[in-house]
Amino acid sequence: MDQQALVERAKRGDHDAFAELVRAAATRLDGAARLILRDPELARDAVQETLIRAWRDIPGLRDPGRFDAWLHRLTVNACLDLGRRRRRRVIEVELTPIDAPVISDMTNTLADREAVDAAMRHLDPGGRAIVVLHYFLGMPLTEVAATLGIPLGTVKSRLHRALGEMRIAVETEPDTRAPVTGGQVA
Amino acid sequence: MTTPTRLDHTLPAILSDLATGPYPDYVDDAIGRTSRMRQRPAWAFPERWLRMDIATRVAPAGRLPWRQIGVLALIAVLLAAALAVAVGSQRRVPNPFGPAANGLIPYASNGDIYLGDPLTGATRLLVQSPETESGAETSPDGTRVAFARSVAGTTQTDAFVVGIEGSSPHKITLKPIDHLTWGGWAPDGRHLALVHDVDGSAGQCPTTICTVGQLDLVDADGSGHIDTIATVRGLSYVQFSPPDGHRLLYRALVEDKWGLFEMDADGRNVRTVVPPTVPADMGATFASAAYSADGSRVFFNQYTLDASYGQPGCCQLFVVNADGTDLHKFIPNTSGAWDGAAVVSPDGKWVAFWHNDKPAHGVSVIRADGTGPIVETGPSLTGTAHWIWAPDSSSILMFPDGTYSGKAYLLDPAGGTYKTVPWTSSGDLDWQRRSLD
Repeated sequence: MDQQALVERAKRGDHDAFAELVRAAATRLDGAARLILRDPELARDAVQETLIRAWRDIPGLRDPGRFDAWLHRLTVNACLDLGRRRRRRVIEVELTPIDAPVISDMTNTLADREAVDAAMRHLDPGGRAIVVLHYFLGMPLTEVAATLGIPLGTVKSRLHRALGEMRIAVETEPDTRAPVTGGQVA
Repeated sequence: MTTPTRLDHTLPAILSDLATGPYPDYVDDAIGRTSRMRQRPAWAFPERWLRMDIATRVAPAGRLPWRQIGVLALIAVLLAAALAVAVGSQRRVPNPFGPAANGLIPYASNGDIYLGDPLTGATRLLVQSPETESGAETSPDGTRVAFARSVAGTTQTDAFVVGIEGSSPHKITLKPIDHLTWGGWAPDGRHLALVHDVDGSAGQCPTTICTVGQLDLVDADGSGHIDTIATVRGLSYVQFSPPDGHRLLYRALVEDKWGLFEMDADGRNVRTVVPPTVPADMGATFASAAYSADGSRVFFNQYTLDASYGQPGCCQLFVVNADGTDLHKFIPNTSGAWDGAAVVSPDGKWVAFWHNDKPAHGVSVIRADGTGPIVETGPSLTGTAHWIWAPDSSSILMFPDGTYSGKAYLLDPAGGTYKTVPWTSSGDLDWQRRSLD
């Protein structure tokens, strides 16, 4: 059965249809949540919250063809909500320049999975959400903007900054493995 | 090949690799839990089914004494009309540039548009619809609000204008605009300047910022009339020149180098303000150029390899005469600080700018002539931020990028205490201008 038919059934309260829909998406949602939150347990909480919200609110989904985008939006919002609740302190962490002039080592460094993994940790959850929506879930930037409820220009600028920060974090990785004090939600 | 291009190519595969994992074993438990939960009934989502103008209309209830209501309503209308004429005849509006009195702060939250009063903390809903609204900006005279509404499931956006009191909402774009990247009121208050990527260019671009952009001036009255002013590689914004708005400042890519340019408001007479010399991948260069309050000078941040300016790289804050003469570094330090993103106060006396001078990173303020001390204000930040001045120049409204609390900060330009506004928003910043009278 195609997805739209399943969505229509789920909207009418068919729980089996809902289960089939979310099982098909579960691995993707879990991966996105782990990338955004960088914590498997938090990701688990976020996805569980997502599924509960999805079941509760799917009758209000106007366009069944937008189910995936809607589910992604719920997931990202759940991740960011969890991140906010977990935040102990939001300021007093060192800023790195946006556009450092040295880029020569990036080619080799970015090929290293571990380096990118570490670089992702340097981004705030909002920045990670944009990267994940665009590069992992394959959303066009306009849809990322709609999903996060921010202007397209803001998405572009934040993505640009995120990529710049990732690059710098990769370059400075040996110096930044010490715990970040007073820090961001990781 | 630029670094962003490499990231574009490698990140999807690496992220997929990082995210790879077994089927999450907790999902079936979660599904089981939902089976015991009730769904919200469909009728509980009226906003998803009704058009905005219908959803926001108050439905009459019960049988009412229409004759008495009619007489009272007629009296009320006459009184309101008389009052409106009396008040309207005395009404003054601020100039599009220069100091003004502080009004309300429009903001987007959860895809709807609100107005917040920074003095009382009171907020009110201005626009609500099933779609996502954003980018609220008050007109130069403070009487209307322009905003964008995403077309669900597309890369397209419609532009709307609504009265500051919520009256006469109307769409000003005859058809949705694809890849809208920037919008702002023209100083005459009769047009919106909209910048959007030209169809088909996004996929040909090695970075997210070097697409071909088109500047349109769209009538704000809803007539649908559009004047295409210019189509420029790398165009991402324009700034209207004080005091008359007759010139437009913009950045552009020329042979893959960033330059800063001016043109007349009709797109003619292009002039070079700063020649194109900065490589395309240094995208923060000229990203926030701004006129001085009198329009005679331009502040901008630029990538530089000149170590005598302090830290080589991006960026340092420069100023240049609008005719391209007397280009020089604006912030007098050689400490390696990252300076940029200048915003000039409406009274023309101050410049608020990003000052990344370890250990403090955040907004700093300096006199617009570059003299005097650099005053750091507001919190130190983990990431970047964006900000605007209050119309009366008494404070700075700043929103940190990233998640934070979702609240904007009100900063004291003199470096005093700061606070957050009581509402959360998605980060667009604007402040209604009111007459000083």
